[in-house]
Amino acid sequence: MLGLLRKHKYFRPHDLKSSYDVVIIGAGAHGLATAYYLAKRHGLKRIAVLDKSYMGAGASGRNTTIIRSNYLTAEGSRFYQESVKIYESLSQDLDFNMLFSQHGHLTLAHSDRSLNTMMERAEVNRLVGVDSRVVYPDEVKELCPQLDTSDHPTFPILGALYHPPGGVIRHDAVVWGYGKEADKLGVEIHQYTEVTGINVENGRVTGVETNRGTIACGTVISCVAGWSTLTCDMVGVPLPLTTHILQACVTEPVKPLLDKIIVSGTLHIYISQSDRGEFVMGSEIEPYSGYSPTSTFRFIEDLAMHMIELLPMLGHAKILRQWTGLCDVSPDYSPIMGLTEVDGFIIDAGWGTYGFKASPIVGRTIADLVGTGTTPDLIHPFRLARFYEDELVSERGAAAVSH
Amino acid sequence: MSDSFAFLSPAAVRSTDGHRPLLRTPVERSHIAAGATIEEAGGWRIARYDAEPADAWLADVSHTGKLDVRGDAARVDELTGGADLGAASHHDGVWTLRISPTHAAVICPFERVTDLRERIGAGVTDMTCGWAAFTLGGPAMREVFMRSSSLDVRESRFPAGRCMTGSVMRAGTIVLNEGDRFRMLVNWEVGEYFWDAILDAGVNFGIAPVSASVALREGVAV
Repeated sequence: MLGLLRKHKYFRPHDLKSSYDVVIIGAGAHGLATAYYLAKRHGLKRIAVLDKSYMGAGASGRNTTIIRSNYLTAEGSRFYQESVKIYESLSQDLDFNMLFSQHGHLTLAHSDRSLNTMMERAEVNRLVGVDSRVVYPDEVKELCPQLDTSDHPTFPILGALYHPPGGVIRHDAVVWGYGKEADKLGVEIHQYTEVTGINVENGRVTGVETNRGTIACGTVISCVAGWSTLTCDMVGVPLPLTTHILQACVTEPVKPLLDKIIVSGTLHIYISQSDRGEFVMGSEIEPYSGYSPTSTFRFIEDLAMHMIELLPMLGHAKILRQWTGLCDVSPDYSPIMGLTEVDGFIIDAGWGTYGFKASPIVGRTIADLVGTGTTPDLIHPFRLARFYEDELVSERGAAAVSH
Repeated sequence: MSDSFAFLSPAAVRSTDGHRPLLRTPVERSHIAAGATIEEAGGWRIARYDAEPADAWLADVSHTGKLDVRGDAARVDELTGGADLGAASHHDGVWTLRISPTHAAVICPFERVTDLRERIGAGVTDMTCGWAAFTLGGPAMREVFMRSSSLDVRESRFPAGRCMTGSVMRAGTIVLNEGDRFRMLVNWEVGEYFWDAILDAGVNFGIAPVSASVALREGVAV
């Protein structure tokens, strides 16, 4: 019997050293993926990943696990497409079952205007090799018979953007998988180690202050999602971000009956059914900014009213739990990645509600930036300087509602 | 609720020698930032906008009187004339809203608050400065509203002379259909947020703030 119990520990405890080559703030999927690819692709060994809480305590463990690449801009679609490709083989790469299932993803259109946006997205997607196309109510009904495609709902369904490779993955497994393999490559993961300051001398990062002491380092990478503006304040790098809470909830588990991911930008809702049978549901970010972790009844009220109109059978499902996460939202709904005016300080921020699905490609490209000193073409459009160079990448039409 | 909250009533504010208190709505800061002129009327500082009503417009009518009435069903029946749940009636400048069997609300001109409070008696609370009030109007008002809430305000479901409560921009709201405009009551402390959020939701419909006088013109008879 004892043999059945797991004896292997995935992460080794370490003493905190006084210096590292690279310090990554945030032990979520982005931070751990970056550490993993830095060690694997560039051979760096002296890497520390610090987190003020436990691994995956932030957005990585609070998202609704959806993976897709059907964005509106060519820059965004190309970037997320690379991420989907990595996700497709990630279980093998990390030797850890991620439970990735690509059931298909439907973004509903309820007006002529949103249908036009779907057509534009489909064209952009095809140009960059992303599989997506516009479908109309008859085919929507075939793909997802549970949807009410009649004209009874407040906003009848006029069509949808169908994205077959869209899917869901177990988000905790992504965090643990990257952490496990990074640990094997010598990366040190220090949980409950809060960064309280970042030291800068002559415009260059020299180390970080933590609740466990000072660490000297030449490179600091901030991967803290909703806390990004606070971290960047430590080095005097202003970011054009506001932080909002995002709420989600799950129902009690039921037998499998919904195999598509359903999203409605007009109704501000999205839903999928997990492997456990729970309906995982979410909404748009709260319209007010803040850091409060408090869930609200108003969220459930709004969500349930629209959700039951779309999927009437959900009227019988009971809500099991709800939670919140923090989202740092940029003016053009695209992320901010790369170099800053402070040498050695790299940012990975502005992920709004779409950060988790980019985790692998963020890790790889940020690692390549640090390892080679050159910004990869894939993330060049998302540089902070775009806000000063009038080169925004507006994803509002494809990312303003969370998934 | 009882009259023990009477001390909160702004209607109790009195001028004394050399001191003439004025009441502000929770949105005054936004009005000034938007270039509105602040005028004094009836003891309030009220925003005046030069803009004419467009496809969608929003007005701050927080200076109107608002009364919250709680009591047993028979008492609320008596006040509302036995109105159905969700019914709202308009008589002599006063709206009476039947929100639940034991809950009603009254919206009236500010100068009538004291008189109505005394006439209603037990169970009434003056919410004039407890609830902010906004009126959303214009041909696109339903579209703007439905970008802000999951409440169903289609004409067939929410005709003139009806009221309901629910979430609008994630704030608990009493919504009244006055016929060609919606009046919305929210907690005073979220008033400024609510104003900004509705204006933001209506950007694509060309929403513009207008003077309270636009919103308080006689609308469709109900």
